[in-house]
Amino acid sequence: MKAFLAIAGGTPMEVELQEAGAREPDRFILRRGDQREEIDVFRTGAASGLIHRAGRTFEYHAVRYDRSIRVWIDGHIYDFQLATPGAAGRTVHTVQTEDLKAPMPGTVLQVRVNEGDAFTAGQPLVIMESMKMEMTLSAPHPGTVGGVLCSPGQLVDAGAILVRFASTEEP
Amino acid sequence: MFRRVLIANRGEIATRVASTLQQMGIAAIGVYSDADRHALHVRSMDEAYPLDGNTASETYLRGDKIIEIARRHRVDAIHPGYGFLSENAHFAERCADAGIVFIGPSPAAMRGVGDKVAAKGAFAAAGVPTLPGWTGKSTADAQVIVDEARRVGYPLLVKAAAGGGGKGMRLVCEERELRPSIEAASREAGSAFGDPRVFFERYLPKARHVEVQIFGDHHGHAVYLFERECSIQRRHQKILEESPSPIVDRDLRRRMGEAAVRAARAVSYANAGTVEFLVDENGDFYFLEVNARLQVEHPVTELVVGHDLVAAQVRVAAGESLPFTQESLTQTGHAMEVRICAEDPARDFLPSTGRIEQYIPPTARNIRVDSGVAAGSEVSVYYDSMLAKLIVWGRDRQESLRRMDWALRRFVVLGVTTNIEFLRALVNDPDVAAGRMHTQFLQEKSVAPLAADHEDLASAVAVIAVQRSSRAASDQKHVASAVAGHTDPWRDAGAWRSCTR
Repeated sequence: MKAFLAIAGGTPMEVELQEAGAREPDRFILRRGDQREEIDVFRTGAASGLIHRAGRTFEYHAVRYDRSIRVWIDGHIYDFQLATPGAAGRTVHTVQTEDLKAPMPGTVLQVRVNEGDAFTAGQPLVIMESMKMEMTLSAPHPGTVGGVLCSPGQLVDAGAILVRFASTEEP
Repeated sequence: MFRRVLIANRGEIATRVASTLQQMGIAAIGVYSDADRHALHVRSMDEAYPLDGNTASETYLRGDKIIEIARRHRVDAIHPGYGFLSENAHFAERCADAGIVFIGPSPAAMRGVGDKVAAKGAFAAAGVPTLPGWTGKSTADAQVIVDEARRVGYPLLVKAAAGGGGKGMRLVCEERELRPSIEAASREAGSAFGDPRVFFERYLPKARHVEVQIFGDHHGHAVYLFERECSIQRRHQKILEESPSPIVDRDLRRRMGEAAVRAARAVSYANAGTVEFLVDENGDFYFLEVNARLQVEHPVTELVVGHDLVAAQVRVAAGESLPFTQESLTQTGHAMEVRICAEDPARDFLPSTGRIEQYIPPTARNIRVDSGVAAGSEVSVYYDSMLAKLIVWGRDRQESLRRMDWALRRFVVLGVTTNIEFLRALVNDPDVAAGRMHTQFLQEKSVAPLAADHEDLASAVAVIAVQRSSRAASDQKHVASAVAGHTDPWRDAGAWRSCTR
């Protein structure tokens, strides 16, 4: 199970993907305040698909840029910025269920935990630099370090596992 | 009939002309700049040859290069499209010297209508209504000019004799602005057109822009193909065009059409052209200018009259008679066009460049899209921002408006920012729906964006997009922090508003 946080129109919304495996469509759960809604997403292409919601089907198309995503639904364009954890200006929460991964390609500057360490939610674990910006990758939830898979100075790709968590607690 | 025709243009018009030529059994020969090597128009041609360089003046404006290519590849005629060399009488003459037919009016007719002072005089003599104004040749006697301006009345508009596109144009609201405005307009006209002559005429603030499509041939025929209204403009660029005009009735249509034909005959105009008029609140109309070429908005006329104007241009240039007579022409239903441009309404319509990642034009009966781009096309800084024209036909204006809204809602362009949502808001505007329009419409009024209701679904899609691309990058089943913050440029900018100056 994976959960993400999106800020739409200033309101935080949790987007959770139910584990779909090979099954299509993927089911997503949207939570906004105490509202909960399930939507089914059927992919028709690399960046296109259909969303089924309460009897209506919406076509979507998306384009991914380095730090932003543009989405087309029903004649409207929606722009999203990818938040950089720890970046100044905007407070964002990363919601994460297992392992700390590099959100974008970059260089590891510091690793602040060792294998076996217990950590609390929000504790800085790794500092990275990417596109001349420093990012603090913090623990999304309390846990224990199962393994450190990176070292200072190392170049990492987006999605590379930096710290493996020994135990996963749902946020 | 011609066997090989070169299209000295790019973008949607080059593609559109090629399609008609090919359907007439004529080979379409294209030209392209370095930046356009992979452009849609190049692959639409039977053959296409490079014009080395990128800027318009290095490429599509280089008549010498184009004639050289035409000669080398045994071309019979050149279609200039609109813009670029289309109203260049000197280029038309050089084509004739090279034994190549220029598909357009004669150089003499082009010169006759290109000089606005001369054209105004010739058309007034032919009985075409013109605005009261002053077309004096010298600005030396200051008192004469002041007296003339008083006679014409303020506000008045100073224009360049050789003008176009708003250059050398000044609005003068009171006497003390007169002399500085004339001097500034004259300087601007001198540097833009190499001709500093200016004139002025009465300014009609709430006027509507109504133009008449004319067509002449080399056998003495000249007809009008009814009107197009293009009152919705931004910085002298038309945004929405339609036929018929909601304010033109049968009698006005006939009077304007006949005036336009008199103008055409006054300069022995052979081929397609447009006579532009302003129509004031009393329904009186005044000659504005002649465009000696095929217009961007010609499909609006094609859809209501049922004739292919490019095919007619080619036939007339090849010496045939016009394929229609005034009596055979009818205006059926209503057609409307909008120009899809790579520009950002939230940033004062700043041009947007980049690669078009997704391009899915709407398809349905009575919807026509003349595209200059496809998915994968690069929108470069070198040329204008128009990507495509969306044209719809309806039995009446309300049906056209609804069809246009439907089509705009389904038009997907991702990769560059476009004016599609702005256009959709425009066709949903109550004043536009009621036909209450004038040339200052977008200067005076802001158009409210339509509500975007699916932010939450878009957020989910954003998350999916991050998750998908991250999975591809790392081949991992799970992805870490994908955090998206929604930015809403429309909301930040409030309602769309054209820059008022």
